[in-house]
This record gives sequence, C-alpha cells and structure tokens, in this order.
Amino acid sequence: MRWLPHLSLLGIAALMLVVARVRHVPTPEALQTAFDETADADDRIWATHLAACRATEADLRLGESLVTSFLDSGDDRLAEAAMLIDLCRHAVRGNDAPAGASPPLQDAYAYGRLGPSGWTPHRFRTLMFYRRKVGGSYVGGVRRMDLTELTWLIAAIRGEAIPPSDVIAEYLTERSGEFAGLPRPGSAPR
Amino acid sequence: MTQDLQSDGAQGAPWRVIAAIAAFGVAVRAVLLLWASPLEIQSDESNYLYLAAALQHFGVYLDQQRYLWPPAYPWLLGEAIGAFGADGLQVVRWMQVAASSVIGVMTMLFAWRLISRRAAAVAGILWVIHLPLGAYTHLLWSEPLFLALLLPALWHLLRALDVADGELQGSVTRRLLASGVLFGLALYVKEWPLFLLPLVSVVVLVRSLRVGVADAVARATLVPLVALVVTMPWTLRNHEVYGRVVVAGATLGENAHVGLNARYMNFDLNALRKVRLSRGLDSLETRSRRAFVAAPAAEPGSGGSGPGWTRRDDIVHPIDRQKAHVAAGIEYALDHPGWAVRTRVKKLSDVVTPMSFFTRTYAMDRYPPDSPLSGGVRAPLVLYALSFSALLMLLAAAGYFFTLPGGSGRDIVTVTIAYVLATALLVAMSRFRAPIEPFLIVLAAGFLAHGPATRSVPRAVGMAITVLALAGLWWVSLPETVEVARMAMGGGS
Repeated sequence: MRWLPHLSLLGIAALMLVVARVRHVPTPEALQTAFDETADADDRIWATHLAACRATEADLRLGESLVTSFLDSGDDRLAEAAMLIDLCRHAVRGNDAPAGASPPLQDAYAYGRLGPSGWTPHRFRTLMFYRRKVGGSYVGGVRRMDLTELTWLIAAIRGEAIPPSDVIAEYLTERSGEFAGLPRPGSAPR
Repeated sequence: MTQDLQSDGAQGAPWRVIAAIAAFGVAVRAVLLLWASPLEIQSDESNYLYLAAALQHFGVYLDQQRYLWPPAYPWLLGEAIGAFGADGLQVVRWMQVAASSVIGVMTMLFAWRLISRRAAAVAGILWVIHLPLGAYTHLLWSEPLFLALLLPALWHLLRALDVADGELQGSVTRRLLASGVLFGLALYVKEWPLFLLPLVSVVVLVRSLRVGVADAVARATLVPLVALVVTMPWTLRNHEVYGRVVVAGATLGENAHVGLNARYMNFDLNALRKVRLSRGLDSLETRSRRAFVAAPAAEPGSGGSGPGWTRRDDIVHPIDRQKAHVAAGIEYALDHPGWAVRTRVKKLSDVVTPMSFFTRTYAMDRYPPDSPLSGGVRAPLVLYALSFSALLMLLAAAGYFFTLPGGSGRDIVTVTIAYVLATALLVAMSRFRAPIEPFLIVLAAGFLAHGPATRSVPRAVGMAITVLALAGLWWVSLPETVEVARMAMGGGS
C-alpha cells in the first residue's frame, strides 16, 4: 500500500513514454516534410524545428537549401520562419566571412529592398524575428525588442494595422543608431 | 519563551487577519501597478515576449541559442497576447498582482506554522510593505507566478512532515502528492527548483525515519517522483525536439559561461550600462573592487586572446553546448582556484545586495515621469527600498538564530536558503534572492514579534558570524551599490 502512489505514477510515466514513442517522428521523415512544398506550413515549420534542433553538426541542407525553399515559398509565415533560431544556427557562411558574421541569406532577405508598400506587416515581422532574438549577431540577433516594436509586432501578428511605413522606418533608423559604439561587457578596464 | 511560541503556533491559523492583510497587500501592489504603467520592457522581459510572440505566430516554442527556458511564462504571455493583443501584457501584470495574494497568504501561514499567530500578522505587514518584492508584480518576470507555486509546494511538504505519523499515512501521502504536483508546475516556470527537490527529499527522509526506513524512503521519493511525472510531457517534448533528456530547461551552460569565466558580469549592473553610456557615464563594473572581480592574469602562451573561454558557438546542438560550457567552466575554475574563490565572494555579495529590481528600474529611469512613483517620492522610496532589504536580511538572521524553533520547518527554511546561496555561487544578482524573500520576512517577523526567544552561545556566535558576513559582503559591492542608489534617486556621477 505504501508504494501504491509510486506504482501509479510509474504507470502514468510508462503510458506517456508509450505515447511519445508512438508519436515520434524520425529525423529523415522530419526532413522530408520540411522540404515538402506541398505540405502544410505548420507541418513544415514543426518538422524543421525537429530536424534543426536535433542536428549535431551545421547542416547545409537546413542552412541553405531549406532557407531558400522557405524564402521562395511565397508563404509569408514560412519566409519568416527562416529567421528563427532553428535555421539561423545552421547558416552557411563563406570562408572569408568575419567571425560572428550574420547568416547571409536571412540578412539579405531581412534587409532587402522594400517593395512599393514599404514596411508591410510581413517585412516588419521578418525583421523583428530575425534581429530581436537572443544569441548575438552570429545568429542574426542584435538588441532586444522594445515596447514600441513589440506593440507593432503583436499588431502585425494579429492582422491589425501597423503604423505607416515612414513612421516605422524613422523609428528603426533611430534604434539602429541607439548606443552605437557601446563597448562590449568586460572591455572596460578593470 | 519557546513554549509560548509553540502554544501560540499550535492554535488555528488566524484566517481573518491573514485574509485582511492579504487583501491590503494586493491593493498596494495594484496601486503600484497603476502608478508604474505604462512601463517600458527591459532585459529578459523582451526575451520572454519574443518567445511568446514566436509561439503565437509559428506554434513552436524556441530555445534561445544560449539557453532553453521552461515554457510556462512565455506561454502565458503568448496566450495573453493572442487574446488581448498588446493589452495582454497588462493583463498578465494584473494576474501577477492577483497571484501575489498567494505569496502573501503563504508567507503568513509559514510564519504562523513556524513561529506564532502574532508572527503571522507581523509577517503579513512586512510582506505588504516589502515594495522590492511587490514590484515584481508589475514587471514581466516570472517571479510572482513562480513563488505562487513554490511556496505552496514547500507548505504542503512541511504539513506532510507535521503529520508524519503511521496512522495518518493517507493524509501524508495527499500532502506529498500536492507538494510534488506544485513543484512540477513550478518547474514549468523556472528550472531553479530542480536540484532543490533531492535536498528536500533528504529532509523528508531524515524526518520520517521514526516511522520506519521503508515508509521514510517511500515518503522521501514521492515528491520528486510526482514532480518528474508532472514535468514529463515537457521532458518528452524536449526529447522529441532535441533528442536529449531535458527536464524543465537548460540554462546551466550559459550560466557557467557567465559565472565561471574571467569576465565579471552582474545582470543588475549590466542592464544599467546602456543607461550610463547614454548619459556619458562609465560602466559600473569599473567601480567594482578589483580584488573580487579581476580576471586571472593572462597566462603565458595564451596567444594574446586574453583570459577566459569563449562561447562554443561551433557546437550547433543547443543542449550539447550546455554540457560543453559546464565542463569548460569547471575546468577554468579548477585551473584558477584563487580567482574562483575571490570571485565567489563577489557572487555572494551580489545576491545579498540591498539592490532590487525595484531600485534597478528606478536607476534605469523606467517609471513614467508623471507617475506618483516619480518626482518627490522617488529618492525617499529608493532609500526606503534599499534600507528595507538590508534591514530585512539582518532581522531575518536574528530571527533564524534567536526565534525560529528547531524541527522540520527549520530544516526546510535552512535548506531553501542554503540552496539559494549555493546557486548564487555560479551567477548572482538581486533577483536570485526572490525565492527566499518570503522566508526572510517570516524570520524577521518572528524576531520582531518575540525577540530573542532562544538564546545560546552557539546561536549568538552564528548570529555574529552572519552579521559580519553580511556587512563584509555589502562592503564588497558598496561602490556599485552607492552609484546605483544615486542613479535610482535621480542622480549619478
């Protein structure tokens, strides 16, 4: 009787293990789904998450082919998913790239020329998800999101109106110059 | 006197007093929130919200390259954003104000159970006026939610030990199950209690031995087992995503990189760097006493890259990188034992600092300029917050040594405080003290309510050592504390 709770708990744990085992997606299958242009966007994003997080080496297929596939998909959300940490940590850089160089494909997309509509919700989400992540410039992250940016990002996610393009452009320009020349932690004399 | 305490504490909990004080404390926090709004987000708040926004938009919970946080708080923020848009931030803050009632009630219940009804009332008043703790309700950090789970978890554990009697096996089991479930839920908010679980299990084991070894083992293993089962869906999700076993989160590696590395970092001060730079001021770290922060001397043949070790971005797998960082940190500390010891003193100093996120937010000039929190009350409030935190630690020490009776309650308080101090040896800042603030209140309340109820030479010696240690640790960080205080009060040089 004294071990009944333990046995019950172990039974629940065993059940969860079985469910997890049944629902397990092998990496080759995840990769296949990630690259499948006919698959649902949610499925592709989840499969990419699995493949990218499991990989123990930088994977050219993920860092280049899949990024290109997402960016060229014509699906805004898939293109934005290429900006997340999952694919950015597999970024392929040239041999002459400086240390800490940003992921080149994502960089080019996020900072590419704006269309005639200027800062659209998609372009704004792209920049925020790319530049406001933790991890440093190596994965495309610089600076933390502030409240104004967050408010606009939430609106862009919810399909609500965001401020006019020139307002966003002016704000982002100001932020990009914010604290320019800030010394890195520890570089000050001790 | 001790008998008086026990007979007082043996009476039922003063529920009317507790409810009234808790309501008052919630009202104080609600007013603080109203006065603090609108509040710019800062530091980890931005990171939590990035995860929340990504979860809402992509349906995927991301790691942050350097660490994997437990998911509950970003999930909560994401749900609030999804339901209320940008107003969701304020909704979560109001939820935190409501959750603080649990913290207040639990603080008073602990004071009642560990000391007396009178101490419970005093603890309630201290909790109400503990603005540095209360301020977390209007910041988007997970402390209020976490404490609202951790404190009841410890409470049920304590009550289980209270009824550690063979005839009440069912009651004990229910309490331990409740404790385990709450610990498990707390692990969804913070990884912090993960290694506290085995420690409290040892307390349960030792305190339950009188009912027999088998029963004691059964009781001691129940809480961690329940907690692990509660967290198992998340653990299994992590295994599916990363192919590794990750319970709760994975932050140890990044903490090793920050805490066991040549460069001194304190996130209380780090957050103020940009503010100081914008004002043309030097970095606060330059004011630190060198003896406690200076890196080891550069070693011959180091190639001029300077001391310390670099972040292993070459390891793509985020969980494997954690392990590599922990190994590198340990190796670095073993290679520089003198440095390791003196910088650990600084870490302890950083966790017992009178500073808090309340004063830090002031120092960052984040409270709205037209708020009642600004203006003429700013300097007095900052001085009050600093002195309250310092005084609370001193009174808590007195309460621990002179008022707190022995027994399982004392064991749990001791283990929890020791655990906070031990974890602070890796990385430290004022926020890392938050899990024990309620216990500091309880101990201080005990001393204020009853004075030195228990006197002995060992306790007096313990108190003297603690006071000297606190004074010494405050002296270590005094230059930074003074400067942050100046900034918080609206000045700074």
